[in-house]
Amino acid sequence: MNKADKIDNIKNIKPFRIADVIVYSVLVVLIVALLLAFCLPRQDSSLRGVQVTLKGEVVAEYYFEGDSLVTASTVDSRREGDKYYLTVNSQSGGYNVVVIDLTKHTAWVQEADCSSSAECTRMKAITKAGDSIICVPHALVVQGVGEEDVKEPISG
Amino acid sequence: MKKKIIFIAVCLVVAMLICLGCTPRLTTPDGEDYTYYRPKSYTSIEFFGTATYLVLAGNIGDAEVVERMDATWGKVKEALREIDDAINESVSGSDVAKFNRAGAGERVEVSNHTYEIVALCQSVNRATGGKFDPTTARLVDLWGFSPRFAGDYEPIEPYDRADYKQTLPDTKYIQAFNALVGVDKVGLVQEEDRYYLVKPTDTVAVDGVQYAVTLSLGGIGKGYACDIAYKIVKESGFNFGYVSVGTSSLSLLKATKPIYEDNPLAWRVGVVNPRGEGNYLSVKACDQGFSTSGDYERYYEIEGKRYCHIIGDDGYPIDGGIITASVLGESSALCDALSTAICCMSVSEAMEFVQGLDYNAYFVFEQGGKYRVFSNSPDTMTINSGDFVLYEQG
Repeated sequence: MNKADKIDNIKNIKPFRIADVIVYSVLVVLIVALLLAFCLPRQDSSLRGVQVTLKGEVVAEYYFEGDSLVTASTVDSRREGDKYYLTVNSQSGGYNVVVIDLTKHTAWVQEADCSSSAECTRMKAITKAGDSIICVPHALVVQGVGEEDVKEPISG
Repeated sequence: MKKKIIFIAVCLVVAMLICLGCTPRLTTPDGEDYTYYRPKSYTSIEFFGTATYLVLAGNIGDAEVVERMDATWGKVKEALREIDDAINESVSGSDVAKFNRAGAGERVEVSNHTYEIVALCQSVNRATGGKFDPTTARLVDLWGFSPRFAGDYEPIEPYDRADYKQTLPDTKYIQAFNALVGVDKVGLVQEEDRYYLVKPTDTVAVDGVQYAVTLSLGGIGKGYACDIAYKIVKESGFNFGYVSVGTSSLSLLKATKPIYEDNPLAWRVGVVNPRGEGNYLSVKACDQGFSTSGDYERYYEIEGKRYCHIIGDDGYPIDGGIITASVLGESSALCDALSTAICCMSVSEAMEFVQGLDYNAYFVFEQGGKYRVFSNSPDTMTINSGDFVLYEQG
């Protein structure tokens, strides 16, 4: 085979056959997936839902996936646009209004008659799993549900 | 074709090795691999009129582990309920309420928790020269800091003031009630598996009304509860996480997130800034108790002077210069009592006291317009705020 024939022969050979492309693509995807799974930091604290407890009893539970809300008879719920408003009635006759924002994936206490200062309405909104808002006079806890990040302990 | 298969296999092996190399294994000295441990937290506000948090870390992908975590929380809640029912002075059937209602010299049957806590109080009282004393309860009530002031307050006692946040108590009551203080006079009796407190015979009379000794175990109860919770958590097979009762008291297990190079299992505990936002201090802690007390938790001001819930040995809210104190050591109950005791000392007394203490202590006082931090173990802490500086003697 002379030099010109060799060149023609190489030109006629396709660099990749379709099967090769598929195998190499699968390989690349597999390697990237392994790197993502092992090497990159994990997505922590994704908020999957919100749980409301009153004196330790779960009275409302909402999960963003599936837009599912379950409430006890002591909770009045209404939906306005992309928000749920849960009025949680305590045994002492008081109430707290918990708002769940379905698009921003967050929750907070909007209104309460627990005390004149209503500390719970001024607490930071729940944005991560493990975050909580506490109303001591009504024994109400609103807590973010999902895979939690490690929270460092605070004393004081 | 054969070459391609070999090439693909080599690629996969290399990728696996890279991935495994990217994930450092995290192992305790006992060989427990916690690389993939994740936290699960529990909250309750059923106890001690404050929030209780339990954070447990384990392989939460394993249903058995999650079930065991939930069961552990159940056991912790049961124990805390038992302790709260025993020592909560606002629960009418509690041991402390029964003791406070009893007449001078009477014997009151109590639970082993109450007995143990009062015994601890007596030992801390002795160790601190009387600075920590739960029989200041009547003074705490006089100054407006007992539990009945947390809700809708109604003046019922002869010494009550309707506007207690604007009017100071009458000096005759302060002197009389201070004369009742002395936890060492409370008798402890154990007969087989039954426990009793014997109320001191001392009484004082003010305007014809007799007053006997009363107890409040709020200055140690949360720490004691942390110790009990820690024990339950360890017995349930968990070595990672922490318990917090009202944030003032903590029991720390091990940390899953390595922060300190010299001890990757230590937590970084943030200590609340007593005069501002955020944390002024971070303390390294692992498998220990931690507690903080201070004049910023509950207080009111009259004519620019702060009156807080910690009562000193003169019968008045503390005014010795210490703003806040934290203690780190084996027992949360002792940390709780010691942090309160340090707040009741003068700065020089506290410096001398903590230097002879086998627990780590950190306290703050104001000097020259700066907040000074004094510690007997400064290597275990980091100051996080520019308003605070380490006090160095000499």
